[in-house]
Amino acid sequence: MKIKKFIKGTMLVHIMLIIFSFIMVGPFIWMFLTSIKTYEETIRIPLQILPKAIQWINYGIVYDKFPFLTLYFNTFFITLITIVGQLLVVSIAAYAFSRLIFPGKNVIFLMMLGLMMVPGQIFIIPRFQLMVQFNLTNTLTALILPNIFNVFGVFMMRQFFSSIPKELDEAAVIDGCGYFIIYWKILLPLTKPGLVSLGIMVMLNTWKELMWPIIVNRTMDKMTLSAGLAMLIGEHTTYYEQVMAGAVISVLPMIIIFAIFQKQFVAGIARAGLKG
Amino acid sequence: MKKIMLFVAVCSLMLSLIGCGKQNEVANISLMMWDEAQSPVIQQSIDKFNEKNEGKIVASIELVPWDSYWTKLDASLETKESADVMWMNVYLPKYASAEVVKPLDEYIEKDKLDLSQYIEGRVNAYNLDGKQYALPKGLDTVFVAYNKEMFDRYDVEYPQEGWTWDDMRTIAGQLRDKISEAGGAEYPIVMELDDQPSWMNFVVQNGGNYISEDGKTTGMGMDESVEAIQNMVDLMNEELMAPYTVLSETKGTDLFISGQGGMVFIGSWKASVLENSTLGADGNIGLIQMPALNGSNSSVLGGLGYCLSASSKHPDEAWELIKYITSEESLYNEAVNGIDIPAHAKAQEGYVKNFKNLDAQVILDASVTGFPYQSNGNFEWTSYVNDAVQKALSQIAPVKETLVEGATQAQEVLDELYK
Repeated sequence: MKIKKFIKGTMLVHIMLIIFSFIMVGPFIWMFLTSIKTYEETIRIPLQILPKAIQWINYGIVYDKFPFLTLYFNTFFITLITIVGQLLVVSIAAYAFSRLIFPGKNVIFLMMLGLMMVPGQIFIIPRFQLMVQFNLTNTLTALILPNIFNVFGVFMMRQFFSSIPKELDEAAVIDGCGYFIIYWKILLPLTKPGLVSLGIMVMLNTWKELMWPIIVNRTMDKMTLSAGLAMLIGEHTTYYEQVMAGAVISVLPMIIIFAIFQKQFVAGIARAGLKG
Repeated sequence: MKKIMLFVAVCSLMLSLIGCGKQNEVANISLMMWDEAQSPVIQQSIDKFNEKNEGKIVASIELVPWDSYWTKLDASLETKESADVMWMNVYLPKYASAEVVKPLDEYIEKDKLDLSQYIEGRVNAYNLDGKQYALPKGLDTVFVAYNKEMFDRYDVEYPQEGWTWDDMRTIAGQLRDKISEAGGAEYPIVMELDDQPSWMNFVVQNGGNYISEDGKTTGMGMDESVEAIQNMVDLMNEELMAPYTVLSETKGTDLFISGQGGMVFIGSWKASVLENSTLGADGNIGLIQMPALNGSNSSVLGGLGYCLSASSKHPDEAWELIKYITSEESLYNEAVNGIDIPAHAKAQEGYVKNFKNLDAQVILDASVTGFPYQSNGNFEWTSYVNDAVQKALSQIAPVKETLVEGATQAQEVLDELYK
């Protein structure tokens, strides 16, 4: 009886979980397997799943080609600053759009939303021209500055602010709070779930940003990981085993960090969600 | 107080240092290129250049991935923030007409540089309206590679130099029959269905053209061009060539190296891949010129050159760099390292030395009869004909109608351009 129950309940769930985890981990396993093949094995038809002999040398080749520590630091640094900067700027803007009354508020907001409908590539050249005028080309600042503002973030955070009852503000005003204190002490803590999800989105977008670093920066010591790896993709021939070895080197620290702090990550997201 | 004094002292020291640097006037110039695989060898030339010009010029490489190269070039030329020297290919007319790259004639004249030391076709490729916009770096040729092991196994004779399209059909037919007898799954012929390694060759050999000499009309609707594409469709229909579904999913070279193809139409940019493959190491790859179609086996000749940015702050120093990296010495070094076929005639012999498993002379010889990649530097019209060719090859629509329709649409764009 017990066994039957086990099979029906737990085992079915486990089988499903195992299947799904393989689907999720599959690309990573493939990335690793490709990274230890020879070039010929990566392009062989029909597909060759396991390499004949493990080619650790690919890692050496890629590691010698790029200053990985610098690339890693750059990527980490700009991601961190962008998240902090954007959460601050975006939430202040969202607060203004949600709570303050000023002439033309809705028109400005609509115009801003209009920006969301324009494909991002259009901004590349004007943005580059701005960076040239500010004398910021080939700097890490050039990678951070244009990403500090995010229209979608403002829209999203405005919705969060608007869902908080205005009575809270009124109570705070009676207690003698100014606009900034209301924002900082009363409303911001209540929008934590929004800030967390926005923060995660910003992190992903900054981490994988490819085109902009390549355009605005010129030397390897000012590039990010993804831009560095893209150098390996050739016009005619791409040595996939090297690209994948590079990819493993770049994601490994992230995976280790996640494995160590897994509990905190999950708890942080769950807690933020509950409070909202 | 002491601290402030120290601070002032350090500041003034630093200022004076900056002043010194300016007095010496070292010109920093950069070279923008896209091929990571070539960069270590080109860096060797750059190092030598910097050594020779110590105290005067410091050159460095700016590496950009192929996918983003042209976007970056557009953005940087527009803002006058570009590298001083850059790689250029068939896109040259676009940049020349925008006057963002500088004609090199005055420098060539001043230094009495002899352009005849380069392969003629590659010099002409960068000559627009009598102005020379770039010095050639290297060249690409297209030829045929065949799998000797497969020919032996199925007891079919190797293709012989001077073969024709009909010979190729006969050989492929023999292979096809022997393969199906033995229950094998290989394809007699494979190719990459892009313009340069495949169909542009056949169209031009057959008397058609992709774009006319003056760059104003496309000949892809001509009967000769239609016939050339029809020839390819026939190969597929008669199972002499791998079907479209296979060739559009998988690269012909990859099929060939995996032992799935008897013959492959292939470009010199894949030569090192062939050389280092197991098939090549076992001495099983034979190279031969393209089969003659309609009496011609002329093949597409591509390649790169070095341009000088019109907004360069150090044009004279940048010219020195261009001159040095296209010199016999630099290009010979590229050749022996196998990264490119030099456009410098004397440097070419170095290329052959780099190959142990291939008869690289075939690759060089293909350049003698080659014709430059047909282009007018404009890419607004090309997608109409390129899409039509792919549609025709996939046989979702009749060949002639599709090509004529695509060529007509492309012509409308061209007419608009040259109104």
